[in-house]
Amino acid sequence: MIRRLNDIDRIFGTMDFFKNQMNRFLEDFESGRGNLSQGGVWPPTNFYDDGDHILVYSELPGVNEEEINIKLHNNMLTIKGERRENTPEGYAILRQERNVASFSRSFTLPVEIDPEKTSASLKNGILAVKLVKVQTAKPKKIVVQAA
Amino acid sequence: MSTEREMTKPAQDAPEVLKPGKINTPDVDIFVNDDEILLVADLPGVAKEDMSINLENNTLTIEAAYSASFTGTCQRREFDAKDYRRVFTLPKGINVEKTAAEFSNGVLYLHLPKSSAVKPYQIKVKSL
Repeated sequence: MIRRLNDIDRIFGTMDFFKNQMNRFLEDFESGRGNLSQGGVWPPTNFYDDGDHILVYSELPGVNEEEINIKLHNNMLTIKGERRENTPEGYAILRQERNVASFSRSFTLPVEIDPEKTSASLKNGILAVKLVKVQTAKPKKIVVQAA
Repeated sequence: MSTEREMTKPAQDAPEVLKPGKINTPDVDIFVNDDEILLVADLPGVAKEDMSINLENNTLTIEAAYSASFTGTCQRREFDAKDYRRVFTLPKGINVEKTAAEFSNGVLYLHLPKSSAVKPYQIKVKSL
């Protein structure tokens, strides 16, 4: 009987293992990280909307500001650039996970943007692009009047 | 002597701990030459002050608090503002006192010098 309990325990242990592996895989998938993103979608980019602006944030660690090229054309935002050769001279590689050299991503923006007022900044490896919506695209408050 | 070999062991028996869940695992590159092991880690969204690197009993722990903040409502999310943590077991023969770290543009460069005992020593051949 005790042996059988041990067997059951072991089966559950194995199931737990697979469950954890699956969770990890799904997490990687949802966050756009992990093996699926290798050489694929980079940099990971978040979009925020605060009413008047669209804020675009990209994770660009190890990229200098002069190596980033941002273009806005017909409501299409393109972030392009290069991460410098990162294998230091005279070293052998033991592990390489950060292997993105050049990157390019394009996004179609949902609203019209004033290209003159666009600004971008880079801090601690995060690029922030601030896009100002044109007046007609901003949300309007409608006041309800008592009849 | 076997520094390189110890670090290139396949992932199954490597003592590195990856913690899934509420924590980001930074991507790392590890390089080695005769003098040191160089660990390069991507830590976007982290300020220099919010990073802690601990070396204890051959266990290297890199932890960093996420400090970048975002305004507005999120419309599309591909990365999370989560803290970073990753643990490595270092091979023997690291000169702990001489360890140096640099941080720029969200990338950490950690220099782990080898102690002289594990550095390769060139024997010169003299002609008679």
